[in-house]
Amino acid sequence: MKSFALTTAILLLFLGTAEAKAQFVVKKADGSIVSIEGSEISFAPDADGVKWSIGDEYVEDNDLDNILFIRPILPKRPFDSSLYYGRSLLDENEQKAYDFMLAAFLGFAPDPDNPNAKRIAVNFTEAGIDITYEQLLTIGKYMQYDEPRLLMLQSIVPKGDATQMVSPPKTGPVGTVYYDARFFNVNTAYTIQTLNSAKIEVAASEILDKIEPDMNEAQKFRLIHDEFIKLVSYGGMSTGNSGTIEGAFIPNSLGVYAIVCQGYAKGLQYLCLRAGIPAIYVTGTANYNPPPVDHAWNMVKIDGEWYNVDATNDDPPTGATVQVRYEDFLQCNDDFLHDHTPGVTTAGTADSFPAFPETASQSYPLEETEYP
Amino acid sequence: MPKFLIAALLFFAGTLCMAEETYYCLITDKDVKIAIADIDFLIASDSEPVFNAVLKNGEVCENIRKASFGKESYQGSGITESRSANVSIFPNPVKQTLHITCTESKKRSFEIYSTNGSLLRKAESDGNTTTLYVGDLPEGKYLLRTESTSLMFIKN
Repeated sequence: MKSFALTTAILLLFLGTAEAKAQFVVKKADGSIVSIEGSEISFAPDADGVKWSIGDEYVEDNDLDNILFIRPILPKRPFDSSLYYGRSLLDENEQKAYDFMLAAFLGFAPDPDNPNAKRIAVNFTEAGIDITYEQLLTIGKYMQYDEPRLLMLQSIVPKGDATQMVSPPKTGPVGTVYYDARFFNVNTAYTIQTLNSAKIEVAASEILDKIEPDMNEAQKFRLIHDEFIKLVSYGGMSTGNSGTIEGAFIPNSLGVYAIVCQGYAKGLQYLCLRAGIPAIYVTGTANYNPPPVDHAWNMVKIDGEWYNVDATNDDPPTGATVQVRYEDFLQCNDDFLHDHTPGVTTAGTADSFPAFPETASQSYPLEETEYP
Repeated sequence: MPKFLIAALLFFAGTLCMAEETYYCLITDKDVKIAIADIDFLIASDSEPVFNAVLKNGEVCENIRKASFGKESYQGSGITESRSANVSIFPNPVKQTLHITCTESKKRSFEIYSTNGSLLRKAESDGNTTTLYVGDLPEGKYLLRTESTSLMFIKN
């Protein structure tokens, strides 16, 4: 608790006045979504004292008659560390660096004195953390699999300068490192991240709101799995978002939540983490019909045991008579690995994590996951 | 004027006097309705996706996940749900010591939160009066919570 408080204090000191603010999302009657930053929201009447709008002064566009609902967005801080599988593979010092770096990414905000900044800085020296370049590469690789919200970054490869293409020192502690912000502009990355977080919250919370307090873990997961698959459709390869939670929870111009396998795996992981269910993003190859293809899926922990889930394969093809199927749902390795190979690409290179947890000896009975 | 007509006019006038006004309300996901005119501000938690509605009279409606807006017939002030007024505090605003009085004498805990949900301190008491030192807190608004009651106080 003390080290977290110290780290947080140092982080806030480093970020200065540009700390991330709390955020509300408002959905309007016309379907548009608006993000409101700032921890406090007030209401103001019109000149006649009859109508009300959000804000300090009455604004017709924000009239309460135009608003369907208001809700807060998930705070920009890490999930409980026990939910991050990649983090658990690191040593204690690497975990400190991981925690510090993740808080810096999630809590990033533009510096008003540097509006054209291209990179997000992480100052390990001020935090009293000694970490080498090689360790940082591993930490970054694991973090991008652990945390689906890292959409503020253009790249997880650290640089040694705020603007120049310079690598951090390859030996000894790295000191301060810099990560390219999305669109190579911190201001733009923040603006887009802020708005997209609002849109993601609207869709994700519609699913999470359905979880009842008395549901057990298996039921919660079944609900998340089913509702998510009903929401999304396979596709969208022409856009960059189809492999992220933006593709999974923000509809495209046709109103479709179009994603590919990475989007299924990231979207399911995000919902599981929100619900407190450990979920690993796994990449490897799938061999439904030879030759094998590069693919992504999940492992989830239910009742203390790990199981495999391939949400892409559980989404029936267009024209199917059912909305959800359970081809690869909470399966043990014996039932799953005959057509999935984790941790290696079709090119034969190592991918995602060096090792994965052992699963339960048997797949989870589907009937025991049913919920009212 | 016929008596029945007088009676009808009196009844109609009486009905008009009893007519309720409608007010804009915030309606929480737990179906609690709060008059917009009574709300001081909404404040988001910094740890969970919930917010509190802090009212001008110091009451707080907590842990709201989602809220819509509507018009309701309304005859009171504050939060239109049943709450027992079993806790009171003074002075408010407070400089040094907050005095808490409970209608029932029993063991209970008191917690002080910042308005964004961070727990700042905790104390326990088993009487019906308790004092809490708050002189070291920065000036601002805080929430005192005990059992199911939350009250806002101002530290000046």
